[in-house]
Order: sequence, then structure tokens, then C-alpha cells
Amino acid sequence: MAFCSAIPTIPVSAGVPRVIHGRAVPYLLGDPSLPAEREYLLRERLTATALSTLTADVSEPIVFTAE
Amino acid sequence: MSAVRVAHYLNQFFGGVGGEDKADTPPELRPGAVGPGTLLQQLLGAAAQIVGTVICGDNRVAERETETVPEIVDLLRGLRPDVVVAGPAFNAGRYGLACAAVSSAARRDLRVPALTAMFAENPGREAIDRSVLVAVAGATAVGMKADLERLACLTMKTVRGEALGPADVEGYHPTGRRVNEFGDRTGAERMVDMLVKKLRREPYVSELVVPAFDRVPPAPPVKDLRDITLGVVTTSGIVRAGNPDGIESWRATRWARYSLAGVDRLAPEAFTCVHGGYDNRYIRQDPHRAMPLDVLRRYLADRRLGRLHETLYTTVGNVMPVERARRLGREIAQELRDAAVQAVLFTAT
Repeated sequence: MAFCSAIPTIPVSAGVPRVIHGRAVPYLLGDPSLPAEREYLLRERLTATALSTLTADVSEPIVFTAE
Repeated sequence: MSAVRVAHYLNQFFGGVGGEDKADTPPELRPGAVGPGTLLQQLLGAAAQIVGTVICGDNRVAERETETVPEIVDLLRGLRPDVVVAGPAFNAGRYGLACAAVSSAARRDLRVPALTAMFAENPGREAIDRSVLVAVAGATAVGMKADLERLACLTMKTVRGEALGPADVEGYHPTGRRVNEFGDRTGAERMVDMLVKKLRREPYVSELVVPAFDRVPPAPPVKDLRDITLGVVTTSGIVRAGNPDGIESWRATRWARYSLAGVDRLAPEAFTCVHGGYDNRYIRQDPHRAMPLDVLRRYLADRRLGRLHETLYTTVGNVMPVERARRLGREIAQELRDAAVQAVLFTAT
């Protein structure tokens, strides 16, 4: 499971292994201040990061961030 | 002083009417104690008398609750009880829900104390009014005698208005109520004492119960995203327009599944957001901000992702008790398992 959260400390404290740092609570995978195309690219980066964690070998909670 | 009048509620099985085939039995009143009530009467002693027993089939309550529970309450009212006792329901789900509904309604409508007894994981515990005391019971009727002793003792204490000790001492499920008491040592002393014990690896009991999270071992990595079926789950509160499943905006009690077959994108006309814990307007404008179906569709088209399990599982993760989250999670996980999903994208707000 890839777990996207705007506040990674919460899933980490609950022991979730693969955590992806989302943008913000009210727009986890987007940003309304961006033009639509750039917002989509941001979401694509975050989603790509999330999916990539599924192929990562983890033994404890790790927070992944989109570069 | 005359004996305390106890009204007892039982389902069709413990009431001796019959098994599953009699689960549609409508409410009926029997004089005196019936079934487990006979032993309960002995344990209550002469100070209390089970004046009557109302029996109803579990399915009858489950399927026609809005009309059946008032019928049961009317029968209980006729007994002029000082206290209403339901069950024990052990870990029987429908019976537990019936005991919860009956004891909550009796407490509310008859304005008398109400008690029931059930196993910790009985779903009835979630449905119960907080003013109903729930005694601890085993998962099955094997420990009936001990369970009834506890229930009888708590019943008498309740009707006498005696102060109850802590839940784990008295044998009831925690009510969330906090009671001030004087201690002979200050909080600082007790805390340092606990810390020292912890450092020495000696047993100690915390005065503040922190919800226990399951430590789930990480799933092994998938080898190649192009070979998997991906599931999508969210607690962001995305729901179909109009919220047809009635998911609550906080303390949600349910989840919903929506088919994504033929759904290219989460259009704001078709999906909305009912999460009450954050400003959800940005999600309502574009639900992809909480579940990136648009990106996933492109991944699928580009064959960078094998398959999507074409169902969105959703609920509202706002002020949800850990126990309930565990139940909802288990139910959704079972569906994903049945669908042979190998990995999940989970979005939480």
C-alpha cells in the first residue's frame, strides 16, 4: 500500500510503511493556485512517486517525497 | 423497601422460542424470568425481581427496527421497570445490535437505567447510547454464569446509585467518563515511578490509554507495476454526487464502493466530497486532488500500470474511532483480497 498523506507524521506514528508526502490537506494531490496543466504535472509527479514506493523494499515507515 | 423491578430483554434463541427459523418472531411478553433470566434472578437475589421478559427475533429487530423497537419499549413500559437489562449478547452481532437498540431506547424513553452485556468486539457496542452501561461478556455463552454475575452486580450497583470503580475492576466496557479521585502521590511522582519501571523493563500501567495501533508488517514490494492489479481506497470523503450511501461527514460508520468501470475521470458533476474535517471545496471542484484517477488512466493507457481494480472504496476519515477504522479497513481489505488486488493506492486527507 502506498499511503498519501499531507501530514506524514500521522501515518508514520501509526506504523504505515510506505508514506508519500502530499501537497496539503485540502488538496492532497493538486494545488488550486497552479494553472491546470501544471497542476496535473504536479499530481502526476506525486502519483508516480506513490506508485514507485510499491516497488521499494521497506522494513519500517518511510516517507517518500516527490522531487 | 419493595424489590427493584427488573425488565429483561432476550432474543428468540435465549428466550426459548427457537433458532434462526424463528428469527422473525415479533416482540412478545412473558411473565417473570426466562432462560438466562432464571440464573440472573438467582444472582440478583431477593432485592430485585425480574417482573417480565420481552422476547423478539433478531431479524425482526434488524429488518424492521424503526417499528419494532418502539413495540418492545411499549411492552417494557407496561412492566413499570426500575431498570432494563438486555442480553448478554456475547459476540452475536444481530443480537448485540438489538440489545444496543433496546437498551438505548429504554434509557431514553422510559428514563430508567439500562444495562446490557456483550463481548468487546460485538458491533452492538458501537451502536449503543453512552448512558447505557455495557458489562463485559465472553464471546460465547460458555462463561454465562460469570457474565451474569458481573451483570447482576452492576445492575444492583446502578439501581442503588452506587459509585462504580474503574471499568477494568468492575467488569464493564469503558464509558469514556472520567471521574476525579484523590491520590496520595502527585502526578509527577507517579510519572517518574512509571518511567523508572519502564527503564527497568518492569511492568507498569499507564494512566492514559493511548489507542493501540496494529503493527502491520510491510507488504513485500511488487516486482513490476505492469504486472499488478492496483486498488484505490480513500478516506478523503469523495462520494458520488448526492451522497447516496449517506456517509457521515465525521465519525463515519460506513464506507462505500463505486464502480469505476467506464469512468475516465472523477468529474465534479458526478462526484463530490462530504469530509467535514477540512475545507473540502478544492476537492469538490476537482476530486482528482484527492484521488488521481486521471493520472492512473494515463498510466494504464501507456501500459505503465497493469490493471486497475475498477472500484473506488471510500469513506470519511474524520474523528473516526480506531476500533471502527479497524473494522472498516478489514471489510475493505477483504474485498480487495477477493478481487486479487496486489497493491493499493491509499489517499488520506
